[in-house]
Amino acid sequence: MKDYSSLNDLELIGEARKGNERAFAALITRYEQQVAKTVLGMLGNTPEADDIGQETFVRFYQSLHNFRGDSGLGTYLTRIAINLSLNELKRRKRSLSLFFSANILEAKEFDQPDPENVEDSRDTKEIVQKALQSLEPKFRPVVVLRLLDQYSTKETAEILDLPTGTVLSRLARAQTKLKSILDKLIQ
Amino acid sequence: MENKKLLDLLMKSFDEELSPDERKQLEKVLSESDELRSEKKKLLKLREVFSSQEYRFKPFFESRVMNRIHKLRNGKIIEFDFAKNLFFVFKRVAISGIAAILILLISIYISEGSFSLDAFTGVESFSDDNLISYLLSDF
Repeated sequence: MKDYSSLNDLELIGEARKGNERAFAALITRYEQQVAKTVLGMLGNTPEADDIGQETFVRFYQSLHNFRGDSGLGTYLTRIAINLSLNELKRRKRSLSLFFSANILEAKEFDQPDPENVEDSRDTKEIVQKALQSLEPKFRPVVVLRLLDQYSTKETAEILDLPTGTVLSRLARAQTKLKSILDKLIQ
Repeated sequence: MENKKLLDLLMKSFDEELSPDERKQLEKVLSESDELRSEKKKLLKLREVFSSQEYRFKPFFESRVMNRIHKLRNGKIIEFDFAKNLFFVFKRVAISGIAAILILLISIYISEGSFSLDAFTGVESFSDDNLISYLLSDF
């Protein structure tokens, strides 16, 4: 039986284009964690996040023949995952706005983790997740790409199609907020 | 204000190459200010906390994606088959319709000897008066 994990991305894509499902499955295994970081960072640990993660790979599968390899596959998948997550955040906001007034919506959207819980909770992951979800949607992708996914500022700007200056200023504002939320954790 | 500027410079140092002047300025202030050193430590810790996070989807993620792809592909095949069958049925109906029209035209020509409007409607024997009395006969 062929060992697909030893093949590089382009070789696996070549195989997948020929209809080899095991090659595509190997790509999913290889990039699952990276896509999970992006999607779960953007949306939190919700059922929709799993769905968006799946959809990311389905979209990639549908565009297998269009993938030229100009950027790395990881970056390509991250771009799909970010766009789908941003759409999901917009959808959530729309559906929430049907039930809540603008003021309540603002309060809900930017709800901060309770400092008491931050102090008591031992689950750093949960605290970080809550802190991320407390960021305004426009700040979240910058933090996810730069701090979670470890992309450079330039790569982050390219993925989000934003000027580098905007990425830097959003990152600075987001970090100021995260620092105050996670104060106890980073002491 | 000065502090804010220095803090911005500190943050910038994590994400961008500083100019030699900026770097010199930051190093100088860092060596003098406990407050800024503490901020730097916090920022480093913050980044460490984020970069060390591990995220995974629920187990069997790969199978769920492959199932979805299979469904999508099967759906496309069914859709394609439906369109193909519809075209096939439509083609048969269209051919039968054309054949029926041709037979009708031939039978009209044989019985009436022309393709005039009267031959089609079969009312050539009616004059205007006859037609009015025919239409009003029930009243």
